[in-house]
Amino acid sequence: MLQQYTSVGVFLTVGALFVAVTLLVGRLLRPHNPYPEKLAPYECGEIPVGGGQVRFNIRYYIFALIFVIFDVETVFLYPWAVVFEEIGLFAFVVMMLFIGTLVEGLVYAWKKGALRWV
Amino acid sequence: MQYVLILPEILLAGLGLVLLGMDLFAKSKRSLAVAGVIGTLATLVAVLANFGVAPAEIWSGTIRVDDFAQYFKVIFLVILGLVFLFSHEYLEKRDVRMGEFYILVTFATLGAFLMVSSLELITIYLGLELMTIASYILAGMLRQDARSSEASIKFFLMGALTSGVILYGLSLLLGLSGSTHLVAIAEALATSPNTALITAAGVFIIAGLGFKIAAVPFHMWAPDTYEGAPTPVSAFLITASEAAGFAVLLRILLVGLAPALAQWKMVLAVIAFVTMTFGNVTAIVQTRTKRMLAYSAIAQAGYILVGVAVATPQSVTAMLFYMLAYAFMTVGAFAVVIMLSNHIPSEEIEDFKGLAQRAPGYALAMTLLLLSLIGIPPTGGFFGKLALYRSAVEGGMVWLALAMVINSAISVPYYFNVIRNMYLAEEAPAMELSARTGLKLALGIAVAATLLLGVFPEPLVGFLRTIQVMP
Repeated sequence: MLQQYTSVGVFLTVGALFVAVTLLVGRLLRPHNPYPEKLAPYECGEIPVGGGQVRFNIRYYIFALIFVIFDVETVFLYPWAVVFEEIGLFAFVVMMLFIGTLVEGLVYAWKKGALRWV
Repeated sequence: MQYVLILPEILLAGLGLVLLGMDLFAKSKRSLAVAGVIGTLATLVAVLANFGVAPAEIWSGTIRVDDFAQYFKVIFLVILGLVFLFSHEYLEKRDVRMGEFYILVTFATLGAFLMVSSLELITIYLGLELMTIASYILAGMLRQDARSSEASIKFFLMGALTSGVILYGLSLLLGLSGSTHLVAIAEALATSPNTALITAAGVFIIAGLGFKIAAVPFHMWAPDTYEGAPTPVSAFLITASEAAGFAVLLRILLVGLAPALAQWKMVLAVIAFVTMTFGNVTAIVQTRTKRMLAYSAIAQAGYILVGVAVATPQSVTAMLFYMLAYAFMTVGAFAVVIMLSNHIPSEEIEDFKGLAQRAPGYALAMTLLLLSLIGIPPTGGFFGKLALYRSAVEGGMVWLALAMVINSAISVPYYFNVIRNMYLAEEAPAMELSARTGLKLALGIAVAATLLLGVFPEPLVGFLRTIQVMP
């Protein structure tokens, strides 16, 4: 029983050693020259304003929730698009039902004012 | 063919989506309740049409359609229909968002449907989450009422924790057997040497589902949640949510954990005993109606657990019978509570004072339903309890049967306290008591069914004997 875990143990040890060794070697070899531009966080070339740990408005959560739903929809749409030609009409109907349900939810949220920034 | 088998689920999901659309565009929210009743009836017809169909598993065994599932669906639909009928005036008076209420209660029922119509752990868990997440929101729908928020938050925290506990138990079963299907799990466990892990899985699953059915010692959330939630929601949770928990408990214990069942019988028997005794003794000292009914619900869960502990075909039949009778009598009693709280918002047991003079019809109906909850003939509650009692004696658990009888005696004072207030207390200030047709209809159906189940139990019992939990 325990022998089956030997490979796991070896894997863990090698993994830990690999990180330690690479970091150590890198530290010994690389030049050390920090300056402010280099230390600034990179965000698509924008110049950062303020700190990263600010309070987010609680009102974002409803947008985030609705976003997640359509994010998941995209995940479903990709494999559907790949096999669409093989399954044909049935796949189309099923996906339309799925999207229709999501759209109804979006319309509901919209009409109820969930998307309004108050 | 497979779409016919899941037609009830399709119809119920469709009903939820229709209600969602109607909530946006319908001028009168009353039409939502009407649509809800029609949709429930249509789903009921689809469920009844599937009775007697040979058990079938579709979609790689994720959905199982058999009479056991159909029967529970009938129970859920009865409760859903009655909730649609009697909620409107209450929701209007308390300024609850009606559209959301009707939509969520429909989707919660859909979750309960999924829980019972599968032998596959992931589908069961999915249904459980759908039902409980909708229930968390439902419990907190009285947004001006701090106690409703408390009910919702307590329910959510405990529910999230116990979902995790159940999931851990289920993952152990998956790890032991390599399958999420209960039949395959039973086969793998029968030959598995890991008895300690099987025991651990059983502990997690029984404890987790024990929370869902509010069995002692996992009941601490229940009284606060049932008291604080809007009254129609309490009625729904106490009956539908509990019945779904029992259905899953039966499926997992009698199918998946069948090889290890013997070691759980005594544990379950002790839980049943403690649950009914605690519920009954604590209910005696309550002065608020919903809190009294909450502890009464805990006690009733103890009675139903007797059927799980005995675990014979007779006890399962008795359980199934009792759960239908329980749904009718509890929802009916809540209909009277709702009627009364539409006029007197305090919801104290004292509010029942003089009800026999003010509204003799309601007093008589409440008396019958309470007699059924105690277990006095000629009511469905009596016959169900008798069947549970007999199955316990025949199943070799005479002490548990005795405990049931003693507990029924303990429960008499608090149920009779309500009856005493209605009939014997000096007259309370006169007040016009009225209710809408829907509530009257719901109460009438509940009382008629409770009496019918008590007077003519044989046809239903004969049918229930043919229901198999095991595939």
